[in-house]
Amino acid sequence: MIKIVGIASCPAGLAHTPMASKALEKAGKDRGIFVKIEQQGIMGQVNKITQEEAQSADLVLIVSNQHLEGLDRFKGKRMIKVDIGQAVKNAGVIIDKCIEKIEN
Amino acid sequence: MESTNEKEGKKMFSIEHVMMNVEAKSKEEVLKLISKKATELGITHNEELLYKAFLEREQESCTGMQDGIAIPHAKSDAVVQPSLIFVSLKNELEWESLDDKPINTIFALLAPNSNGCIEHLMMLSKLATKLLEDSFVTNVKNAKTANQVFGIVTEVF
Repeated sequence: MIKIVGIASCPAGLAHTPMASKALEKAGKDRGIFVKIEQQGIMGQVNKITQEEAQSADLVLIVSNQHLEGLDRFKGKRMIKVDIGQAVKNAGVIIDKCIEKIEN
Repeated sequence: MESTNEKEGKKMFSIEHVMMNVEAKSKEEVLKLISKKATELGITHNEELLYKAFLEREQESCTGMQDGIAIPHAKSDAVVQPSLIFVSLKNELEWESLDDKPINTIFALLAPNSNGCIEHLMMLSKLATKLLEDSFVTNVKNAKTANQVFGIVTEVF
């Protein structure tokens, strides 16, 4: 199964972060693939990606323009950076593009 | 018996937090009205600082989402406890949004700087993710009274 992990973070870490995470995870579920997005927001790290999950992922999504914690987990992995607003609005399109990148 | 979540939810959001048929000429005016309301409700002791916190967040990136809904938010020392204020506008306002549509429905999220009340913050986050559901958005937009809005929103908690 295709496996995408990532981190979402926004300035206040209150609304966009959980919204983007949920939208991406739902888009993954709809497509029958594994998507897990860690939220680095007002409550600290929520839905944390483990070292193992990070290293076994096909692709890492960075959904933020903020400073992020624990990026070393993804060392050597293919990363894509996306705008958090776009992730809320077009989660399906983003996941489709990720799948395309992984498969090609 | 009420669950803890219901009780906590009431502290954070009550029918007094719902503003219906509000007239405003600009986003700034709406944020001022929300700051004033927050002062009346005892959510803040510093109306001016709260208003500034809203403006600062607006400058970071757009808080207009989709379908006429905006989620301005303030994370500030001026906020005493995490709260939600709902505003339904009579008119539509220009407000930078993800789908470029004007805004008429506003969920203002207020949070203190100290990450104390985790439970309340979780509720605010939960509400935000609810906005991804079409049925929730439709219900909120179709609500005609403060009572209806209160009912729909508190179901989320």
